[in-house]
Amino acid sequence: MTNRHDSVLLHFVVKVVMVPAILLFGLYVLVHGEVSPGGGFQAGAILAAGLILSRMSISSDEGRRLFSRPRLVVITVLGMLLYAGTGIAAMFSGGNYLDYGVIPFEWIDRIVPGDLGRRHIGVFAIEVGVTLAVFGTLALAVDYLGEPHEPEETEG
Amino acid sequence: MRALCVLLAIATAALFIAASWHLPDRGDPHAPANVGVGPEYVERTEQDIGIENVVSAVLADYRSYDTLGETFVIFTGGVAVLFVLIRRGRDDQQT
Repeated sequence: MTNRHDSVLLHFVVKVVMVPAILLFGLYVLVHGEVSPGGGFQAGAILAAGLILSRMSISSDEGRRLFSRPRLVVITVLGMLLYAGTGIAAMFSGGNYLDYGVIPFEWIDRIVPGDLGRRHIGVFAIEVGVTLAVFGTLALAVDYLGEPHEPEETEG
Repeated sequence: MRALCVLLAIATAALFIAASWHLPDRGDPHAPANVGVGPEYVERTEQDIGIENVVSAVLADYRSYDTLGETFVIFTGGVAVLFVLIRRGRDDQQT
């Protein structure tokens, strides 16, 4: 996105303090979203903020490879498919679209028995889907908007 | 012109402040938000869905069609941004 800055202080603060804290907080907002304020949209935005911060300051080649543009597209589409697929899974097992109470997975009953456990898992599944979609969309948009005007070593 | 703008801004702010005096108090049981279908959700979420956060329950279960649509709006926006910017990059490389 931008050029790499060779500042020890910047590297330390971003790499050791800020980005791990932001990513951890994003995951917390996602998995705790059913109890406290939070949820998929917020978690996706926070995770994308962590990725964007790391790309703007300590842009490593490994990070670019790990979240390259094709992979971000795949992440976004997977999120949408997870959301829509949860609804379709409920539909195939005899309920309405997105009616999580009938999702037919045996292992859910072993964790939380009954209808409510399935609803809990269904809600969590779509929250994960929303998180992936929002994360991928924001990261992709900022990645493309922030690219240098001269065509240089950007992978496509 | 500038004075007119400042006057307009002050008038708008005064309008909003005057309107805010008539807002219902926090937690007023007779407020419009608390007499409709809202308390129904608050009461039924625990036995219907089993999630403590009523907002999450409404967003992700009662109104999950709506949330699906919202997510698709974001997705579509991202795809549109992608198409616009990919074309720009290709044109740059051709020249």
